[in-house]
Amino acid sequence: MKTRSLLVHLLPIVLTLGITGLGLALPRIDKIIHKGKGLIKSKSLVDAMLEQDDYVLGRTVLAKTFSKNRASLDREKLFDIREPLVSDPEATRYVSMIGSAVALHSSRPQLFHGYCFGILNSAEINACSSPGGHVVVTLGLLLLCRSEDEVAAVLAHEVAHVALRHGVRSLDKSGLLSDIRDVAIDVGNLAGADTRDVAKVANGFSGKLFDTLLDKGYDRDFEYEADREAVRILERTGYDPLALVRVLGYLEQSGQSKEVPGLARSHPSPRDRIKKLQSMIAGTPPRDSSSARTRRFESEFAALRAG
Amino acid sequence: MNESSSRATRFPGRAPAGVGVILIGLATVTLAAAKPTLRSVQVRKAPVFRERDLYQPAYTYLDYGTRVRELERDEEKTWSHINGTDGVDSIIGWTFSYCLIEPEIVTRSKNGEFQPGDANARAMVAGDKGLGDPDLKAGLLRIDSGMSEADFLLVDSLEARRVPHEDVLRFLAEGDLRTSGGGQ
Repeated sequence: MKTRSLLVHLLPIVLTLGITGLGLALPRIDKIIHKGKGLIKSKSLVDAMLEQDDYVLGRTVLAKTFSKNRASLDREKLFDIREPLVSDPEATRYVSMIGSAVALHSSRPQLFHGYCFGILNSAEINACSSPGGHVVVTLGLLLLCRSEDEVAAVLAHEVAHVALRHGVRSLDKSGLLSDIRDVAIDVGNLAGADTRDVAKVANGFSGKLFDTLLDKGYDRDFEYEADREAVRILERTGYDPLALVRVLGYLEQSGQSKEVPGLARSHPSPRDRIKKLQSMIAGTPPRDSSSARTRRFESEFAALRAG
Repeated sequence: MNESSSRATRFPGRAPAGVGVILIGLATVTLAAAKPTLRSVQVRKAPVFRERDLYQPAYTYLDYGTRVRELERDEEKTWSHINGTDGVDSIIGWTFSYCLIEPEIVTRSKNGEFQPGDANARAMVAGDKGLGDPDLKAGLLRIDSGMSEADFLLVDSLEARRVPHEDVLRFLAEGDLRTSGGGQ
């Protein structure tokens, strides 16, 4: 439990300090740091993170994403800054429904706040998710999809990142969670450590944190893992498990995947991802989309397609 | 347990010592198995189902911080059978095990020593008792982030789009998707 306490309390502080870049007075931080002395080393640091940590982290990461892209709009043009999220209520609700349906069949159907989905007003072909269950998919990627099952495949991949906790696992893999813990213990051993010193140390982690979650993105192993999990989720939900491979095929054909900007820059090529999925889906017969799904796909996206 | 152990002691001739030990052991095991564990809800709204079945509407939701008695977990440790405390004793049902957590959650200071926005709240703890209020953490990050409020409003608008469980069930049925089969 002490591991939990430490991470629960320290990570938000790192986030706060990191974003502000200020050494704020933290009257109780010394108390928190001392909790680190009794860490249960055998417990996974990722397991020690709570649902609420993922949520708070996710909210901030998503806001930071908007903020960052607002600042670099002229250079990258990732989305229309005047209206970043598509406001079409039918399409937005439809995407939320599909996303929630696949999320229900993930290994973590209930998050701290729940999953939420939005359409980013961008022609780029991209999608991203935050550790808190915020999922955004670009208009460009949605328009590439030819059926509800394919939209579900895109969203299932992002939900898989969330359900498998790739966000905090990335932090762990990069050594960030461990660094936070170690420094917390070191500082905690300095009797009477000034809280501003602690703040200074914590501040040093923030750049790495956002670098890990925003710029580098998930590494290839996590992408492949999310693909496999997405296929399972599709199968469990009743969608065509081959839909993801089809979408990856469109990505390959579009050519955009070679120079994917922003959030998906670390993605392996669609061709490699298809290859990795081959053994899993070999012999799986395609499942036709039902007429009901075809109808609602045509209807709900009509306005989007009309532009 | 007391009755079993005292009877074994009082009537050693009728119940050999070994039997007494076994009885005590059995009683202990039984009590241990039946002893509910107190846990707190660690998500904003934990759905409670009458059966272990995702495809049924949740019959109620428990708020973050609500203390419950965990009566048992299923073999896969996916579902927890619970009943409520904190004035919701009548609630009994199944929820996702990972929605529950052991430490007590304290969402507000008992002696009013800090309030949201107060510098003393920056550490975001609820004393040494347990976990505090995540919305307080999120709120502080929002205030201190230095980012545009507009960026957080976008996040808020996204979060407002959360779809109720019952609507998802209807969507699955209308799309000829899976609507039965229970587990995850």
